[in-house]
Parts: sequence; structure tokens; C-alpha cells
Amino acid sequence: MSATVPAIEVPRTISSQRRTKDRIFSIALWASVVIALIPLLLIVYRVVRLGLAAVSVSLFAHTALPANMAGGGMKQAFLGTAMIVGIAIVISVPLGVLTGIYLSEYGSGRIASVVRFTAEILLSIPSIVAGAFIWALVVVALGSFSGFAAGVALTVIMWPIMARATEEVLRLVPTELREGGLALGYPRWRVIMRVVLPTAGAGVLTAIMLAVARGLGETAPVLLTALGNDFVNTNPMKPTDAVPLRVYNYVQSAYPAWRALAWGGALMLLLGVLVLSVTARMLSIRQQRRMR
Amino acid sequence: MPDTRRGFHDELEALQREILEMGELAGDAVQHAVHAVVFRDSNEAQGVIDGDDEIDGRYLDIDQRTLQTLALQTPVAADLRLVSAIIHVNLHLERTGDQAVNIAKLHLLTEDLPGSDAMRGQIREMGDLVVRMLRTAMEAFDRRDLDLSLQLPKMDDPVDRLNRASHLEALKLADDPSALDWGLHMNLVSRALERVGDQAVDIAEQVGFLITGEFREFTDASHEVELP
Amino acid sequence: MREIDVSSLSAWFGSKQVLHDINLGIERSAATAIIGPSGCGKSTLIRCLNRMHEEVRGARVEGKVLFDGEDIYDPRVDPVVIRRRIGMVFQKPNPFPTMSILENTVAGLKLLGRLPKAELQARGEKALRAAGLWDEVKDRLGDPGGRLSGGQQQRLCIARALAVEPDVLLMDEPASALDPSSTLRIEELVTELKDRYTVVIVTHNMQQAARVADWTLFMLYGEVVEFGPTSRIFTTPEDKRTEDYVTGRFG
Repeated sequence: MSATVPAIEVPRTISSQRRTKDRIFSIALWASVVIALIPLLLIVYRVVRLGLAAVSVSLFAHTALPANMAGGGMKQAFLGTAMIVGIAIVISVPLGVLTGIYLSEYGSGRIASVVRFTAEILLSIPSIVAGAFIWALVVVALGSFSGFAAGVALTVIMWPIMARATEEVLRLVPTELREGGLALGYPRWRVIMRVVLPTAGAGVLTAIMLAVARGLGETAPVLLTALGNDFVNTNPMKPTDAVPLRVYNYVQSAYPAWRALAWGGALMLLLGVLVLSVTARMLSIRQQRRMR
Repeated sequence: MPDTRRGFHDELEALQREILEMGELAGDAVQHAVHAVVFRDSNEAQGVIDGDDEIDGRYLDIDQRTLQTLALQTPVAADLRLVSAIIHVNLHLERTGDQAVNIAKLHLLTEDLPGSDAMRGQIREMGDLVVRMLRTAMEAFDRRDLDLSLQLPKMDDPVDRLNRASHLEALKLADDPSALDWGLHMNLVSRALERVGDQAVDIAEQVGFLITGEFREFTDASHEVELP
Repeated sequence: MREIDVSSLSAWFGSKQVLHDINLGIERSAATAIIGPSGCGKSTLIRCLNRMHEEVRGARVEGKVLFDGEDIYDPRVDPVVIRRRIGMVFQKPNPFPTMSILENTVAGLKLLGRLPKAELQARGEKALRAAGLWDEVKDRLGDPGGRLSGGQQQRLCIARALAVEPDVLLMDEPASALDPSSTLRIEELVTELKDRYTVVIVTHNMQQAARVADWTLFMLYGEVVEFGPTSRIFTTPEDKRTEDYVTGRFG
């Protein structure tokens, strides 16, 4: 005896009930996005508003002046950050990019797994721990706070970012290109130098930029290693000032002039990170388009 | 748009040329055989018999090459019809060559016997007709001329008539046994010539197939055929 | 005259054996096609001929491949040197995206040291002509290699392989990723190339093998089933499995 299955009624139009559900869901999603954006927008607004007032030539041209005098600046902080981040770049870029290349091109053994794991851990290490570690290692050993120590501390933070990002970018280079190079009789190193790296090109640059963007803003490691300085310091082995440090100090100050300068510094930091991130993003989009 | 299968198409052209050459040889063979009978030239007859090796050799060569072409080039459309037509025409021409040999042999068998000029005249006429039919069919093939190929069945009618007439002519020789002997053999010659005519019509049918993609019988042994 | 002599060649991916005791002779100045169903090992075999198989992690080879009197698997032999004499073209065209058309073509020549620009230009032109691409690109040699159509890119890769003047050209399904008319152009190219080079071409398209190759090898489950002149393989194969494959009864 055969039973007939009743045909399923497929409605011709969307019921109003469903329409309402759709709408509620869309609104909820939009609302979450807006809520998430609000703090960001508020921060940006506040920093820009307060910081713009302080931005002037003297911000960059002058060093700290006694508390109640107008017209001071944080020239030494900008130069200090430049020096510290510069040192960090010099150490971490070769280290990070080469590690990235190693992980991508040779990285299927045990050693590679260990390296990769280490980089992952370091990526999420609290930056104050990195700072403390370098303090113990470098500052104590050398007997003084220094820009160099701060540079090394930032390296600890920046290197894993560069290594992992470089690895990711290089992995995106299609295997066929490597095979094409090998089939021509290229030794492995040449395949990497002449085919893989140039193709990944902008991607590696992106990796570096992202790492630098992070390094620019790190306060804790710099705090523990550079100490800070009211005056311009060109000797990397001596205590050096840095923008985040200066902002940290000035923002808590009783002096309105200094508080104003702090916002100026904060704005510059924000701008720096923004420019780097946006540029990195644009480069990355162009790179992806090229790979297709 | 460049011809990307040049090697293959070159081979097709080569095969076509070979078939046309073979057509010439077959036509010549029939002509010489008839000539030998009519003018009682035994050397010429022997020449036809010897020359058949060449025709057979070409037949094998074309046969093998068409098989290769089918296997290796998987021709389609007009190319495929051409290869098929070449295979068939190849066979018809080889048979034509064999008929020429038969005619030559029949002369050699009867070279010493007395004959009849009337019958020789008929045979000569038949020979001219079928050779012309063959050459017409081959020309139709060469030029892909459908109208020309449709002429063939009509050209076959006088051949059939002459064939029947030669039987009657042979009967007139009944009084002389050796002349009759000759006459009966000449009947076989006229039958061979009639067969050559059939081969020519078959070739024309292949031309029709090649051009139109449809195979139509121009003549059918069992019933009348309507032609456009 | 044998260009390459394969003897008792076996290959593994990790613990999985994909080639079983292959014995084969590749004739010089001729095209040899390798056909067979998916997974029969034809790509693996061709990659063993220029030691590309071992570039994959865990891949292993045993046996001998004699080329020019030497076993290319001899431990003293550098694979890089072998690959300069045995070139390869892949299924997916892979021109280097950061190089121009001319730079791509002469990419292999850079290994020979610094050559003067004029010579690079001349050799690049020669290779591009041999690959049937010169007329289409002669006015835009500086354009990026990636801007060409698929068929052109593949011919560029062929030019790149030819520029180093190898003895052997290995082609792993070179036309599979191309449209039919580009495919026919590549086939026409192969018939031209086989006069000067020894070509080995893997193809999953039997008719392509029939059109292009002088010798055909039929493989199944990592073994040689039949090897012989193409015309024999496609008219009167000796092994029933070959017959079944080429007639389409299986595979």
C-alpha cells in the first residue's frame, strides 16, 4: 500500500513574518557595527581635537621647556623614537624576513615547527614582559638604560610579526612559479631571490610596515629600557626619550602646557600608525591583484 | 586563422593527388587493353598485364595511408568524407585495373583466332565510352563538381546497349567455331568493359557523397532510380 | 638512437609507491607521448626524468636514468645541472610575473653569467621564434609576462625553456589548460620542435598523442603496459589493456 507524501507548499511571496525577522536581524548587525565603531570614532575625535591645537613647528623643533613656559616641544622624543625604531628595524627586518623565508621555503621539519611556535608565542607576549626581559638582559648587563636596549626590546615584539607575515605572503606565491625556476636549473636560493621574493615583493614590505606600526606605539618595553630624556640624545647607548614615553609622562602632568603637548604627541602617533596601516593595506590589495 | 593541422591537411592533399594519378593509370590501362584487342597487339596486352603491379602497389599504399590517417588524425566533417571517398575510389580504381588485365588476358588467349570487325568496332566504341566515363568521374572528383558526377548514369546507357548488341553480334559468328570461340571471349571483354562503366558510376556516387554528405545510389541493380 | 634510457625506475611519495620498475628508451629527435588514465603515474615519470620529483617532501626514487652516458641519479650529479639540459614546461603556464616578456625568455640564460645585452636580445628572439611567439610580441618585449593570453603564456614558457638550448624538452600536459585552437598551435609547435629536440609529452588526450607523437607509452597503475610506434599503438595494439584504453572502453 503506497502512501502519498503531501506536496510541500512553497510560498510564492515572502511572508511578512519572515520579512520582519530579516529586518530585525539586519538592524541588529548594523547596530553592533555602529556600537563597535563608536569608541574608535570617539578616540580619534578627541585626539584630533586636542592634538591639533598642540601641533605646531615648535612641537618638533623644541625640546622640553620648564613647566609653565609656553612654546615647548618634544623634539627629543621624536628623534628618540626615530632612533629606537630605527635600531629595531635594522635588527628585526633581516631577522624577521629571513626567518619568514626559512619558514616558508624550508619549513617542514622539526626545527621549523619550533621556530614557528616560538614566533606565535612571542606574538602574544605581554609587551611589558618583553621589556622586563630586555631590561634584565641588556640594561643590567650594560649598566645603563639606552636607546639600544629599547630597540632590542622592540625587536622582540616586531620580529615575530615580520616572520609570520613574511611567511604568509611567501606561501601565497604559487608553487608553479618555484617549479618553473627549478626546472630552468635555478638552485634553490636563486629561486627564492629571483622568483619568490620579487613576486611577493610588496607583501614583504607590508609585513615590515605592520611590524613598524606596532613598534611605534609600544610604551611598556620602551619605558623599562630607554628611561627617557629631556634632551636630544644621539648616543644609542645612553638613555633616550620616546614619544609614547613622553605622552605617558605629560598626560598625567599638572601643567596644562605639557598636557597639551601630550595630545599633540598622541595625535602624531595615531597618524603614524594610521599612515603605515593604510599604506600596508593598499599595498596588500595591489599585491593580491597581481598574484591572481 | 592559421592552419594548425598543416601536416594532416598536406597529407590529405597528397592522397588526393595520388588517387587522381591512379585514376589516370587505370584509365590508360583500360585504353591500352582495348587497343590491344582491337588492333591485335599482343605486346601492348602484355604491357597492360605488367603494368598492373604498379596499380596494385599504389592501391596498397593509399589503403595503408588512409588507415593511418583515420587512426592518428581522427578526421571529421569534410575531411572524414574525403578520406572515406578516397578509400572507396581506391578500391574501384584497383578493380578497374583488374578488369583491364582481364581484357588483356582475353586477347592473349585468342590472339590467333579469327575475329569480326563489327565486334571489334563495338568493343572499340565501348572502350572509348567507359574510358571517358572514368575520366569524367575522376574530373568530377577533382573539381568537386556535383553536376558533372550526375552525368555518369546517362553515359552508362549506351554502354549497356553496346554490351547487349555485342552478344547478338557474337551469335552471327555461329558458323565458324574458331570465330565463335573468339566471339564468346569478346563477350567477356565487353562484360569487363561494362563493369568498368559500373566502377565509374560508383566513383561518381562517392563524389556525390563527398559533396552532399548523403550517399545516393545512381544506379541500382534491382530497381529504377530517380535522379534529380 | 636513445637519448634517455630508463632502467628499473621506481618512485615513492612517502611510503606510497607510484612507479613500479619502469624500463623505457626515449628516442632522440622524436616526440614520445605518455598516455594513461588519471593517477597512472605519467606525471611522476616525466618528473623523474629531470629530477623534479624529489623536490616534493618525502618523495623518493630508485633506479637509473641514463642520459648522455651518465646516470642522472648518481649521487655525484647535481640536479641543477641536469635541469639545464633537460627542460620542462608545465600544465599551467607559469611565466614569472615580475619579469617582462624578454626577461622571462632569457631567465634561464642568466645562469650562464653576465651576457651582453645584445646577445641576450638575440638569443631571446631566437627562442621566441622557435616557440612561434615572436611575431606577436616583438613590439612589446618589455610588457609584463602575465599580460599575455593563456596560449601565449604557454608559448612564452616554451621559449623560456628553449632559450637555454636543452637537449630534451619535457612537457607535462602542456595544452590541458588551453582552449582548442591554442592547443592545436602547441601541437603544431611540438611537431616542429621534435626535429631539433627530443620531446617527451604527457597527455591525457589520446588523440593529441596520436596527432603529435612518433612513439607512445601507455601506462597503468605505475607500470609500463605497452610502448611502441604511435601508428601501431593506435591501429594494432599488442596488449588488450592498451586496446581497451585507446578505444575508450575504460579510463
